[in-house]
Amino acid sequence: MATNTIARSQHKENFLNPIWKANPLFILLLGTCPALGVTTTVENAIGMGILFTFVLVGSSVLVSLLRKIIPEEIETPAFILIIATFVTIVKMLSEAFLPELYSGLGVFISLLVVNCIVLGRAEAFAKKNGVLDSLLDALGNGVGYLLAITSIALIREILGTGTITFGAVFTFLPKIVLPILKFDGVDLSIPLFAKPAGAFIVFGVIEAIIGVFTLRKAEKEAAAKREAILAAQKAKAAALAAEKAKTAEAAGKEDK
Amino acid sequence: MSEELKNELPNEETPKEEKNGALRWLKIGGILAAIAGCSALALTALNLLTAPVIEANNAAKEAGGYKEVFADCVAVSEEVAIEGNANLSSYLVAYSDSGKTQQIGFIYKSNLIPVQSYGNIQALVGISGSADAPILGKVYLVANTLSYKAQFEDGYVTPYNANPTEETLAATKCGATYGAEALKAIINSARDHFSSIGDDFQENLEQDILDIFGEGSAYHVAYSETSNVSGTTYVKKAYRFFEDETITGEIGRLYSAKYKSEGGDLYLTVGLSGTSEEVQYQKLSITKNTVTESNDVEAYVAAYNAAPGETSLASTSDDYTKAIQAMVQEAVVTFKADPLLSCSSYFENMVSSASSYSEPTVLAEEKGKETLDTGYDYVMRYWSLYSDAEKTNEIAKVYKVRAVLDTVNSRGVPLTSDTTFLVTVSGEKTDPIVGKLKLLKNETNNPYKSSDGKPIIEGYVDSYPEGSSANATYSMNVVKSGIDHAVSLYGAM
Repeated sequence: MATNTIARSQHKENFLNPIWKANPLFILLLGTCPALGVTTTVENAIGMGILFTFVLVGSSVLVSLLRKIIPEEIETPAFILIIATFVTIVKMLSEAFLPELYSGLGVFISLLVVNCIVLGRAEAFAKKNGVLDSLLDALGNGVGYLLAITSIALIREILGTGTITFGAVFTFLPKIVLPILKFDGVDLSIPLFAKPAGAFIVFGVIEAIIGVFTLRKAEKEAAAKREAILAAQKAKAAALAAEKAKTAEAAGKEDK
Repeated sequence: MSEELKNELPNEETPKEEKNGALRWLKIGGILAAIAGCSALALTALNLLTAPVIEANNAAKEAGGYKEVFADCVAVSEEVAIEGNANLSSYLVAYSDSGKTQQIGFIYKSNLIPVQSYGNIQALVGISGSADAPILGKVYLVANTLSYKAQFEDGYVTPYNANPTEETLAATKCGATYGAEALKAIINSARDHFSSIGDDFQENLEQDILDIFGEGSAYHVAYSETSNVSGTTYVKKAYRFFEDETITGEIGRLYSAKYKSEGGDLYLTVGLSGTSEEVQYQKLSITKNTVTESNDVEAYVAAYNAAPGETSLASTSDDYTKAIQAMVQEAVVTFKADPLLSCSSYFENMVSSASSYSEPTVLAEEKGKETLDTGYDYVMRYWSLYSDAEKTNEIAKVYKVRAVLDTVNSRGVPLTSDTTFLVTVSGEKTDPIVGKLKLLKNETNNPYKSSDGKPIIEGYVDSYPEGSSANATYSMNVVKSGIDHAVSLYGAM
């Protein structure tokens, strides 16, 4: 029963860790190329996140399944072959059924083959762990990446165009344009944010904010640790003093 | 072999170990091949599923692209493959009607062109006009997987489509220069191909002039200018005819019109003159006639030529004669939108009390030309202006004068000028009065400006006679000499 509880806790950690604590984009700074390239619109980012998750989950599960079959000498080429297969599948499916997304993401779909998160998870996790763990790790990384690029895209689309558009890429949805910074003939958008420079600025600001919070948290933890050590030392000193007093009292009684 | 000797020998694999090693590598190769095989099978199966969908998507996208290239495209011909062209794969003819009778232009489809390592582009390119004067049309991107997709589209494709000209075509520095250069090469290939296959627009202007205006008319190929007409269905070219070698004083116009159908082609030249208020219909000339009922067409044109005019166009029944009617009517609309710049069109402004004018009297060189030290002036022709419609009360004469300054050296600058203008002279023969001037043409390399900031000859003519003595230059002296010559001819008549 205790083993089951530990396993469940491990599964939960495998899934949740990459979403927040070890986010592949914001914390590990992996996969920045598509994160800067396709985050011009929220729909593009969501699309990219979904395709990325599909490739990551598929390749991680397959690598995990084949981990005992694939010899060490050909691990890397075999992993790349598996990843390339999933990328091609994703490319074909999106070209057939989501042509606007395929056109919008352009060369970035093909570039998933060399995405360091995908190959990194296969090398670092999937080849050493079971299918369920690998699935959860890949899913967590995929969702974490999706959320990260969607948040960048949200900021860029609002600031860069003044609107958020749905239904332009996912054409099965009704087309909705939400004017956030455009109203009554006033346009407060800053087109720079829709351009590559805007992606760098938004990414840099987010990283800076995360850096500040991480630093504060680390400082708090260090302070708490210091206090705990001090308290422990004080308690130890008090115990020693009590011991000494007790010993002295006993010696006095003997003298008498 | 002693144990000591064995230890000294290099550590070689025994045949058994070698065999095991080879087997192991064979196994490793087999595993990799198996993974690759499974992958290939999966992708093949998926391709069978997605290929027809992708093909249908692309076809729908291309069909939408035809309308983007030519907004009034309703139907297209069968696709014609282009062999041996690195940029182009095929072309289609675009029509503005479902019966495929009215051709708009050609739509070229490019190959999928790789742009360095940035991705690929594939485009539809529209080209219209005629083989010797192709007109650039819009482009539509069937595929664009460039990493600089947005810069390429916003910086090059959109400005080009807004105004497809040589300037926008050449402006490839847009933040995605490689992509823009690739598209420019596709457009240039399409234009070259359009010119090379020819739009078989048979032109024989001299014959057209003879057919339409007759022998000995004032219309000459040497006194004409050709321009393309865009935004029209049939009329593709305009030929402007002028009264002399100065290429001023327009006297009439010919329009080349094309009608293309699956039943054959019919090309016409339409003659028009007069004013936008009172269009004078001239004859028609058939330049190409491959339609099935060609005899009917010729009979209709012959009947029209017997009495050119709007009424002769009215009685039409079949498609081809209707097309002739439509071509002539479109030529008239085009003519009215851009009226003739004849000399007589300026008379009203020059002499406000004039209500009619005579036919021009053309002066031969020996009579009208005067040689000067720095060039010559030439009073080329004149008109009499009347205050009444019956032309009984002459009130002024308008002279057309050409003043040419041969090269003279002014402060180290070699100056030349060639000026053509109209000048009004009225009053008594013994005491003539010089009236308004109208500048028709001014070609000069004179860089100086007059006191009002205009180029020096315009400034002189516009302010004449008040500013006649101001800012005198060699050019203006020649102009002044021409005016004096016209005045002296007025006095002598």
